[in-house]
Amino acid sequence: MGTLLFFSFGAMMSMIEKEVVHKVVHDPEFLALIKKKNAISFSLMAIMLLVYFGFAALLALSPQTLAKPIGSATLGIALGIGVILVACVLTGIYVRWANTEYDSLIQKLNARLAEKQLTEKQAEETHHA
Amino acid sequence: MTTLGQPNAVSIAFFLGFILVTLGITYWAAKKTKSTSEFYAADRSVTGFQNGLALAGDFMSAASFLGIAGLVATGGYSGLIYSVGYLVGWPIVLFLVAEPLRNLGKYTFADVVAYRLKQRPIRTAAAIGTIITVVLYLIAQMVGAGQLVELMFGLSYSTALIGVGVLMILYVLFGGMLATTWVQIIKAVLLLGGATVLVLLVMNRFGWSYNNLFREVAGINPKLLSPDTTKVATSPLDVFSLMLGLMFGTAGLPHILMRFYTVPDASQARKSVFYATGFIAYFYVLTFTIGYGAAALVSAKYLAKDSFGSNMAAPLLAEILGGAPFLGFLSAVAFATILAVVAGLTLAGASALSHDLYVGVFRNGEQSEKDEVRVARIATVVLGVLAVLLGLLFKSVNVAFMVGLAFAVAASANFPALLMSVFWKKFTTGGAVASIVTGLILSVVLIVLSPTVWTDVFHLTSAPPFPLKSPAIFSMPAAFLVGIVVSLLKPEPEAAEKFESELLRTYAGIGAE
Repeated sequence: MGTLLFFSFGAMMSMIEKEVVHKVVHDPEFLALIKKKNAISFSLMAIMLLVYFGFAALLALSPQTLAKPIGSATLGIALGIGVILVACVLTGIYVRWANTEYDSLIQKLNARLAEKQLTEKQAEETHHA
Repeated sequence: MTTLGQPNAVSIAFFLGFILVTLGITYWAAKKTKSTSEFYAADRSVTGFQNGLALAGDFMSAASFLGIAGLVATGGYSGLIYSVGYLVGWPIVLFLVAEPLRNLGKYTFADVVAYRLKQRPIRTAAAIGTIITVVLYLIAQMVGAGQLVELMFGLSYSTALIGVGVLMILYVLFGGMLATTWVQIIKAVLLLGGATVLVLLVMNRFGWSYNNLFREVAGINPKLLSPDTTKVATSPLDVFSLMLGLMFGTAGLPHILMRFYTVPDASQARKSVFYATGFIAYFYVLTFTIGYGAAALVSAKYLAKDSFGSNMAAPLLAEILGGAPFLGFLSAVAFATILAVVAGLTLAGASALSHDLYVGVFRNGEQSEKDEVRVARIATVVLGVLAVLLGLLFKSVNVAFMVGLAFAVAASANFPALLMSVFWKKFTTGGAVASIVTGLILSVVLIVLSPTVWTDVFHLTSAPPFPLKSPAIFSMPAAFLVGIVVSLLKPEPEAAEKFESELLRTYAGIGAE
């Protein structure tokens, strides 16, 4: 009997939890934020892939282009160092955006949701009373 | 003439100093290493900057310092291909896996894959993927360590291995992740500092002008400055395959992924990738300069395979420019580098054995913290002893080849399952296991059938059945494809249902450990 009671209580709790999660995940602001974040990280990644595999394509298919001299070095050396720099810059752009704008938006969203949950709970309590 | 191989007072002093300091840190860390979170993740107390240095320390192995400098010195441009490929893995880690790892997992990357899926099959498969990657990488580092110490200090190969094994076990066993992190940080600072001084000496010799350096190199061998992929790949397709494996391998290396659990939250995790990328990029520019400096200044007869081999390009250059004391300093730094990387690898392997396999699979997730730490410590000793034995057994294996194999397995077995579990709602337990197994088997089998093993290791005269040197272009897409097909054939509604709470945790960090 005791276990049964405990079990149904647990199931009830997880149902409430699920509802909260469901609400947050379908919150339009949260969805917009996820969308924006994915748009930024996927476009930065697309740039990285393009630059890197562009470099790989030259290396694989047209090494003679990369052998062209630039000063006393070659185009290949300049481009190789260039790809390394691009990787650093893209990383910097993303971390800057995520650690300032994204983090503060998430914080605001969390605060708003906590508030909403509280008011809903209060409304429920007054209703019960 | 070179004094390489004859230990001098400076190298011994630096070496002993490093051991004393790191053992002191281990003693300090041991007092703070009791719970699982302390043992595996330094109680999440590491800052983004510190973790950035430690990540760089994990990544800048002796193989990449001595190996890439040597590759540039003797092969020229092919060294740069590796540098670029290793580096671009870091943006991938940042954009795809760093934050989900920090927010979803606890101690291992299997935590993330198993988040929505069935614990036991996932943890078994992921632990096997982890152990194989770690052991391959460990063999490469141990063999490299033995050969280096033999060359630099004149100690015997087996003495060197036992020395590395004992010290590394002490760090991990008593100091856990906290000691390992600080050993990495110290080593990263020493390595970056030592390489910087060496580059300053090179640039001083060439009137602070890269133009002069390149002109000198071109005068000796103009081919060194032009791209040449024939050393590293058999065909244009093979070039792509190599570069694909290098890029995505980093995002599947268990000892790198594990470091994201040592910081308090996702913002610090991101920050640590930013610092790591900067340090590693700087380091590759240094090694590249050192390599060309060696090509210009070190007599070709020393770089030949029958003398010291190309791995010794950087130490030989250090001796020419800074004399025996600087050679001694750099030798000690190279040794410290190996120790630190081996400690990080052992900790990652021990976590997979205890957290995933023992607790997650055999004990069904139920085990007291105290017992879990005890098992992790036993696993550390077992892996440490195994590393020494494997190092002795594989003495003649090619180090670069083992590292390449580890990267191929990481990119094919670990990375696809990790990525799909985070981003794809319909991913299932069956799909994950099939993906890991496919990536693992395919990458290993294709390498055995490739010219790298078929011709260079087995010395078979018939044409290798698989014509490429790098398998990633087949094994990685295959792992994705098999994971997708198996997941679609047999859906797992319970897993899809949990995707919503996973989203909340991935993106907002709500409920993260």
